[in-house]
Amino acid sequence: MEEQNKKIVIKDIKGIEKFLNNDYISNELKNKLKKSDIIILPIEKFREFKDPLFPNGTEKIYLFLKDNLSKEYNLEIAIDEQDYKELGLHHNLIFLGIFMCKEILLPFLLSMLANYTYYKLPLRSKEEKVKLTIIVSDRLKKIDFEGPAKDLKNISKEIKDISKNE
Amino acid sequence: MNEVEILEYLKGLENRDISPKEENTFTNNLKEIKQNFVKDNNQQKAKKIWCYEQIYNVQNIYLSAFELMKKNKFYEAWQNFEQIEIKLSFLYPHFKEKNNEFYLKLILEYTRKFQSLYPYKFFISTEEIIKEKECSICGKKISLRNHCGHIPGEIYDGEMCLRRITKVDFIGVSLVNSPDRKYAVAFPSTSEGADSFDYKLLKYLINLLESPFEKWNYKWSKRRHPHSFFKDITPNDNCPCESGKKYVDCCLNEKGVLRPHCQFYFYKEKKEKMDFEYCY
Repeated sequence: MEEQNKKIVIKDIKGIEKFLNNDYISNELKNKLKKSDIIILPIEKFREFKDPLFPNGTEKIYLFLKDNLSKEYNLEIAIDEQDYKELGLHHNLIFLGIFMCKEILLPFLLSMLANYTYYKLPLRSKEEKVKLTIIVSDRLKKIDFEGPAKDLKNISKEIKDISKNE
Repeated sequence: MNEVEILEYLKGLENRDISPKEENTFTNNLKEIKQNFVKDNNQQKAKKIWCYEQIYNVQNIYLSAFELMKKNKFYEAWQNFEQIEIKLSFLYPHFKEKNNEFYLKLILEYTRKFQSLYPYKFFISTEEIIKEKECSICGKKISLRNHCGHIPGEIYDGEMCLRRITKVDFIGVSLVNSPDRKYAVAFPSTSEGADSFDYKLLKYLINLLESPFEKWNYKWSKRRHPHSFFKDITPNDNCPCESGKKYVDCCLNEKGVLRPHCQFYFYKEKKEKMDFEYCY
């Protein structure tokens, strides 16, 4: 679906194991990931680089989610501490990251990310674009969003509608 | 100096006329007041003074950008405009301005307008893998699960928390048209190494403006420009209107070449001609 500068693409995925059972993740962390409600995933195979990478600014998003997430939910990042690396591309399209959650948490996650971009991101303009991917683990769907940061708060219903019509 | 005097000073930008020595006294006063609040661990008040410092910086950078343009130092002014955007993006999560009382709304509006008239089209963007960084407040190495607690962009002891990158691999350079770092303009190479961009649109405008606070606007349209402007183009070359057709099959048969035209609007009466033919 494309509306002005906004793009939402929803695709089916075969499974979620490949995101959680990577060799670079320790067994201890793998166990934690299985119990987590929201997981921040790395970008894998960026060009020729073997190391998993996180978009520049992931630290800030991780802290924001951790701070604002109710205690009954667990947030994790799919990397061991010593392997955490950020990728800086310095384009004005802000890549928020790849996230995984269950369908029930999707509206909540989107609303938190919208709040994050509105209150915490030093946007130079309200028209500045953001990009993100969300893996909906129990529906085996991959949602890609790209569009103005201000549109992020309204996409939850659109995603639901597109998902229903598929 | 108390808060009322600070606010009066910041709100009086348009009529501010003081010596550099007095300017220096103002910044030193702010620093001292902030240090006292930090000593008393009054984080809220220290943060407020940090905001005033940022406002003062933004105002000065804007005035300086205007002066630089008056001196035809357009790239230097461009860097100032970028600094204004960056500083305001840092400031706005902590400070809401009412009714343009500190001129910030006006400064941002005219910063964007000036930027849009620059001939810069391409920028150099670096790509890097950040392997290690530390906190600018406590110096601790950043660890997600064992975090120092200082959040980037927040204000602690009257200073903004940033990240200092301590280990990085540069992996590439790209040519982009919408950069994150606007200062990295891709300049055309010249034998003298000089800035060969054509700033005539900005030169025309800045010569007509009497003050950085003077209101103006502009509108783009397309207008036919005389063929005499394009003497070096042969009939079989691409048409200067950028249609992709040959000149002979396109605008050469018309009254002139269809090119962008910029019309300026001023709120103050001007003696000179108002519009400008843009032929980059």
